[in-house]
Amino acid sequence: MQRRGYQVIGPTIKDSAITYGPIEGIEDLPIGWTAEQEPGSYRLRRRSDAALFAFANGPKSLKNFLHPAEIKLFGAEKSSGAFHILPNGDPTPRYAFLGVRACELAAMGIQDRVLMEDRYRDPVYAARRRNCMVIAVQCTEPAATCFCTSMGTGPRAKYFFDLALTELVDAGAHEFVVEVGTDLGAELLSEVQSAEASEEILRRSREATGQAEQGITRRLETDGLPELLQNSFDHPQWDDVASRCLACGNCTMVCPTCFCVTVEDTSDVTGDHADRWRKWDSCFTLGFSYIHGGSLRTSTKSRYRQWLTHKLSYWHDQFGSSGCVGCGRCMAWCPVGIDLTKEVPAFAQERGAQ
Amino acid sequence: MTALSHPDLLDPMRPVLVKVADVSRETQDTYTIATEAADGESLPRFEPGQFSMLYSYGVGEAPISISGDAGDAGRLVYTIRSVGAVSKALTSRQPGDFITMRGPFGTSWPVQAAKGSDVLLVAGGIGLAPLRPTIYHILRHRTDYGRLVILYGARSPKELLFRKELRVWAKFPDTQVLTTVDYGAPSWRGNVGVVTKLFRLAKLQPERSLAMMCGPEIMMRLSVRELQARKIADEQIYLSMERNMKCAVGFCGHCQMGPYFVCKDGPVFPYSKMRRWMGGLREL
Amino acid sequence: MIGFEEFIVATKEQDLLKGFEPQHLERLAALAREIRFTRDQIIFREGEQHGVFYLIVEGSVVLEIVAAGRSVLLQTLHAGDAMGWSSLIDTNGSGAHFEARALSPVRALAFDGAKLRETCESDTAFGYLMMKSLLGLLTERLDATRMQVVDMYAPAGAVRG
Repeated sequence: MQRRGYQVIGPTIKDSAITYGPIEGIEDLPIGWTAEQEPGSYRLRRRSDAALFAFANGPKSLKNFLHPAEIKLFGAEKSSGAFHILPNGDPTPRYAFLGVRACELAAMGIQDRVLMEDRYRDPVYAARRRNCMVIAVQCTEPAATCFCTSMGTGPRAKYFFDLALTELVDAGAHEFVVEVGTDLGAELLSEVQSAEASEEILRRSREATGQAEQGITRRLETDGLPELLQNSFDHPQWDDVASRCLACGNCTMVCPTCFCVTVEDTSDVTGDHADRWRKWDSCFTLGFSYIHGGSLRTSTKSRYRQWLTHKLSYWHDQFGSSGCVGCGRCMAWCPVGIDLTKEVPAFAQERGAQ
Repeated sequence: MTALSHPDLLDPMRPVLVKVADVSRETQDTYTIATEAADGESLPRFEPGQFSMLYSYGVGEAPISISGDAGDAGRLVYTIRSVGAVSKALTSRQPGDFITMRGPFGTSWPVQAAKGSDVLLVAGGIGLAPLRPTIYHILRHRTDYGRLVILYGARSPKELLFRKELRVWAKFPDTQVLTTVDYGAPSWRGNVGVVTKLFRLAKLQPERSLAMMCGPEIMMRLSVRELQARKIADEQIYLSMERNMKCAVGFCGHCQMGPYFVCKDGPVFPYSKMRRWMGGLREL
Repeated sequence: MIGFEEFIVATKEQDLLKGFEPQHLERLAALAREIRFTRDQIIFREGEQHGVFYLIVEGSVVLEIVAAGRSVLLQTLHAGDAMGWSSLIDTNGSGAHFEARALSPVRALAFDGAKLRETCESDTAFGYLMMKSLLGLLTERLDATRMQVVDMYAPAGAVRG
């Protein structure tokens, strides 16, 4: 992949988490590591084998690369009273994503819809998306926070990949079952040693996925969920969540579908040069809804409600699907462990006296 | 729905340089700036109700309604109230200065659908600015429309926009212009009171009326109630909404109001769409 | 005095009288007389016990109050509006709550407040209808006034006044 000019981005251990970063060789992968996740908790744990991909996910997703946290949109320069917008010169990175999960691919599909297939097209996302390649990995070790099965996004990846690997590790062998998704994938595969998969191997691969499905314990009831949330604007459960939520915005940062950004215009001290930057933003910030000298959503309650209702309800009206892929990151990385699979059923309960 | 008519379709975040041709002061804090093409490019056309993102060098961008004549291809005119850093910078521009523009964006007033109907325009404060292109259009094609009623409310007489034009418009056939203020100076001889009190003075046939409103949300909410009491259908009532905007193209997420992006599903909405989200839901 | 037919014509736009039956309108017509004011004429002053209830038929009137030596315009009334309700419900004799001045030539129907009150008390059905309508009018007036208090056009952070 590197020979083809791609920068390989894959899972790697950094700051006590399995995150995504540049991979130079197999040794950079989290060999023999897994991550245990619970609401508000993420812990690395050593495995007894040397599996490369036996974990679910980490705080980063493809979003960090396709929809970067900070990017300069353009620079402008002043000269003799006028100013000019400079042409965008930076080349678009070519990423080869290794180890991508089904939920992340679903999230990428959702971001494709938002950023490329609606009224306008985001050229930053579109260029990086066009340039990237994906080697997916079929999940075999879901985390306790996963609920992709409820969202119809996993555990098996079915599309958007060039190659998909299922890792089979046992006492005797360490093998990868490879599915080819595209011509590029086939080309890549032809450059490494491989053999046609036997029936036995395919059976074991299916079994591994089956086990992953069994291993997913969290559920989210999605039937009627969009209407339920839109009809729950005044539900006391929002006050309950608000008493715990810190409005820290972690959830929006780790969520692979959250796309909100802000635009910052800066200039240097001399004023000769000004830049426009695009940076991630979060609906949890007070300033997000600022208008005419005040914010419309001043309470944490209103901001949590906006986030959840957008993600699980308005998203359907806007983009034709749920905004949630069931990856569970929002709960693992929430400092107080808010678990939306536990919050949502509360709205379906009969309200107490209001 | 209007397609983006900006020449650079490839990058909706990339602005175009425009030259400030004229600046005039409307009130204490509100100015109208007229922009012309710079760099030999021509300006895009716009539909009444649309807005542009205007950038003042080094300060930032803000969404500003286009308040000029859609029939004038050479200029894009904006009426801006100085309320923050960006609007202050924009209103401080002088003729010959450069700013940038992205757009026009957003949905437009139903000027075509209103043909043959009586048209009621209700404006509050700076809300008259995004309605002015509609007034120009209707007056230029006067016989295509029935009665025209313009109800305009502002805080005080000094804050009424386009006063000279209001007098001119009132002279058109079958055209009624009524203004009111919340606080009248002792010498004020016009109406005093909230703009909804003017409704009963409007000569309209509700069954063939279409209303377009722009102003503070509370004014629009009250006006809707008056219109409904006068049997004007929700589908015949249009509002222009306003929310925080950073991109104007549906990517930054800031302008969401319920399921709608005000920048691309609006800013003009039929009330039938907005009804659910305008019922005074606190902190929607 | 004013004939019944004339009364009906003059009052067809009056919000206050919606829901009044012919017999109630007859009672009112018997108490009504037409009155005219010229431009800028003061109709009644603040505190004045003018004892007259008005229904505006033509023209516009401004209600104002004098505060700190200058007058503050409160509201303008037009054809179809009622004013002078202090003449009906004022029990402690404090008179009009504010000043009313004709902004244009005004044509109105005037009712003797005391006689109207007597009629309300003797014909309680009529009285109840009158009070109910008056309550509706005052509610609307209150709402409108509250909306002025909201100061909806003010820029953020502005101090009113």
